[in-house]
Amino acid sequence: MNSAKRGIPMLLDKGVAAAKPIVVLGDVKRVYLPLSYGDQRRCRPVVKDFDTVMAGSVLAEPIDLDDVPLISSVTGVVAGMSEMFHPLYGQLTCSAIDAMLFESPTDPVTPTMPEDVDADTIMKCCKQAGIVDELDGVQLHLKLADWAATGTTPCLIADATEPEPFQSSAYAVLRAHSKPVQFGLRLAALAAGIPATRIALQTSYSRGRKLAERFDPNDIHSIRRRRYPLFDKEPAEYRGQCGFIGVQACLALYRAVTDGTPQTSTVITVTGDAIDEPRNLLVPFGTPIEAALQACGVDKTVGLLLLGDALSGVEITDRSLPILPGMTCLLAFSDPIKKRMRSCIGCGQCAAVCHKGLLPYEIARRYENLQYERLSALEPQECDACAACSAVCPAHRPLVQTVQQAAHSMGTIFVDWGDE
Amino acid sequence: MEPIITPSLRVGRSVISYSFDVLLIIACLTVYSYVIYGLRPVLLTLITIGTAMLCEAIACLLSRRRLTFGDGTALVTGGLIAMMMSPITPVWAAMAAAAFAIWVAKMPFGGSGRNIFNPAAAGVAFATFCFPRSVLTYPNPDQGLRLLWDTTAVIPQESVASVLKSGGASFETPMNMLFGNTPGAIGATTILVLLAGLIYLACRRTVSLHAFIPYVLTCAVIALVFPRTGGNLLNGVFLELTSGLLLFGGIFMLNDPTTTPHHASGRVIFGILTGIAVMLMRHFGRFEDGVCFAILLMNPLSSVIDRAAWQVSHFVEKRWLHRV
Repeated sequence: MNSAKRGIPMLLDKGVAAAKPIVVLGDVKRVYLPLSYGDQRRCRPVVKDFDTVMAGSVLAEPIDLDDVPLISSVTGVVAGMSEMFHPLYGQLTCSAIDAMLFESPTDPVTPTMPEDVDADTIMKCCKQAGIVDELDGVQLHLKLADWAATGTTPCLIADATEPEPFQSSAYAVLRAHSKPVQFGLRLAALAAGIPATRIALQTSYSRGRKLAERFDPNDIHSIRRRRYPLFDKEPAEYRGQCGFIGVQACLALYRAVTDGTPQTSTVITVTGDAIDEPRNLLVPFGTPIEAALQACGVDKTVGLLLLGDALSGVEITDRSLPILPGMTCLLAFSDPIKKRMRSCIGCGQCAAVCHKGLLPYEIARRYENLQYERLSALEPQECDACAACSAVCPAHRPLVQTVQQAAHSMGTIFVDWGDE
Repeated sequence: MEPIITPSLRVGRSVISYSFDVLLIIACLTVYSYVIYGLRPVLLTLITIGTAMLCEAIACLLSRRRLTFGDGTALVTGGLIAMMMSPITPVWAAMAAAAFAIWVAKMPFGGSGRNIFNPAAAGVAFATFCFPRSVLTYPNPDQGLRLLWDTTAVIPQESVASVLKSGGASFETPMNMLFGNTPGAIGATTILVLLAGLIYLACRRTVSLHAFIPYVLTCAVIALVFPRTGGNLLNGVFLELTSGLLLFGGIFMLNDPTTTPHHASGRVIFGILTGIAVMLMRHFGRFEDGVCFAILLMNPLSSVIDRAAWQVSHFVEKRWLHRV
C-alpha cells in the first residue's frame, strides 16, 4: 500500500487573513481566566474580588507544584468568579477581570540570541511565564522536561505547517517575528537537550515559499505535499523521532527568557464567510469569542461557529466562551453546511483516504451495533482524528467522531453513557 | 471529556452521484435497446423502476420510516432488473422481480446500505427460478418488436448462453456480439455500450476495477481450460465472456458498494471467487446463465473476505512501515 496517495486534496483558503498583518485587539472589556482546566490543572486564587491586578501578575498559584501559575493577561479589576462549560476543556471555573489596559508584547528592533543561558534557567523562565504550547494545549515546560528526561529526541520541529483550509496564525506569527521564533526554538532545544532544530513550513504555495526564503535552508523543513493530512512533517533522517512545538510557544519562550515577559496573549485566525474582515487577531487570553468576532466585523447571521479549523474544529454556540491557550482558529459561516445523514452505502472511500490504513466504516458499524469486544481487532486507537474520512463520506456520516468514541469504549461491554 | 469533532467541509461526493452515474449508463442501454427492439424495453424499464420505487415507498410506510428515495438506490435496483430481463418478458414478471428485490432482499435487512444480498441479483434470480420461460425467452433482434403488450406472436430465439449450455456451436460473429445483435437480455447484449459505461464509471471512480478484472480473467482462464464449445478456443472464450449476463453482472453487481468487499485486496479475492462460481454454475447449473446466483452465493462472504484481507494487508503495511 502506498500511503503517500492517501488523504484528501488540500483545500487551502487562507487568502485574506494570511495576507494582512496581525491586528491587536486593544479594547477588550472583560476577560475570563480559568482557575482550572477540567481535571488537567487547578489553581488557588491569590487575589480577592475588586483587587487591581497588573498584566503579567500572578492571579492564582497552582495546587500541583509542577503546574504553571495563572497569570493575568490584562491590567484591570477582579470582578468575581464565573462557571462555564467549554467544549474542549470541560467545566471551567473562571476569574473575571474588568480590563482597563492591554498592551501587546514587543520585541527588540534587532532580536539577538540570548547569551549565557543554561537549560535550568530556560526551564525556570518557561514555567514562570506560564507558557502553554498551542499545538496540543500542554504546558511547555512539561514537554521540555519530558524530552530532556528521555534524551532520545534528535530534532525539535516548530510546526508552522497548518494543513487545514483556513488557519494562518502560525504563518502570520512566523512572518511577523521570524527571528524571535527561531531563537525561541533554539532555546527550547537547548533546554530539552535536543541537538537539531527545524521549522516545518508548507512550500506548496507561493506565500509559504517566500517565507521560507527568509531562513537558512538548513533551518527549514519544507513540505511540498498537497494532500491532507500531512504526515511527512519530519525530515527523512529523523522520521518518527522528532518533537513538535508550536510557533507561538517558541515566541513566548524567547520573550520569557530575554525580558521575563509571561505569555498573556495568543494570535487567532478569525475568518469564514460571515466575517467582514478576516484577519489574524492578537488577543489577551480570556477574551470572549464575541469580542474577537465583533473586532473582525461579524455578520448578524452566523449559522455555524467553529472553534478550530474546518476539518477538526468543534462547533460552538456560546459566544461568551473565553479564548484560551491552544485556540488558534475561529470560523464563522453564514450557512450551516449541514446535510442530511444517510446510512453507509459501503463505498469504502473512508478506508481509501485513511492514512493510518484503518476501516472507519467497519469500526463505526461495530460501534453502533454495540459490538465493543470486536473493536480492538480494528485498532481504532490508532486514529489521530484528522477527519479526512468524515470529509469524503458521501453519506455525510460523522465518522471521525464515531471512531474516536469507539477508541475510548474498546474492550468494554458497557454502554458509554457519556457522563464522565 | 473528549472533544466532539464536527466535520463541516465536504470534499467528496454525495450518495446520489453514485446512483446517478449508474442510472446514466442504464439510460444509455435503454436508448440502445429502443433502437434494436422498439418501445417495449423502454416501457418495461420504466415500469420496473416505478415498481421498485413504489415497493420501497410501501415498505417505508409500513415500517414508519422516512422515505428513502433520496439516495436513488431503488431506481438503480429497478433499472438493473429491467436490463437483465428479456425484451419480451411479461410486465408482471419484471414487476414481481422488482417487488422481490425490494421487499425480500433489501428492506427487511434495513434498507440501502445494510442489505446482505444484491437486490437486483436477488430479483432476477427469483424471476429466473419462478418463471424461467418468461425471463429466458428472447426475440430475434433483426426483426424488431412492433408489438407492445401481446408478445405471443414473437418467435423465440436461443441466446448464445443457451447454445453454449446445450453444448452446441454458436455461429454468432464477434461483430454481432459487440453490437448487441444477438438474442439476449435488454441491457446485457450490447457489449460495446457496456464497456464504454465501464470506462465512464471507472473514470468517475464510481466503480473500481479491483474486482472486475480478476473476475473476467478467472472466467476467461476457466473457459480456456474447460471449453464448452468445439472449434476455435479463443472464439469460445470470447463467446463465454460476451454471452449472458457475465459482463453486465461484473460491471454493475460486482461493484455494488454495499454487498461486496471495500478493501482492494478483498475485492480481488471476491472477483476471483465469483468468477469461479459463475463458471461452475454455467457448467453444472440448471439455467443457461448463473451470474445472479453466483453473485448471491458470494455476497454473504464479502464481509468475511473484507476483514481477512484488511487484517493481512494492515499487518504487512505496519511491518513494512516499521522497517522503513
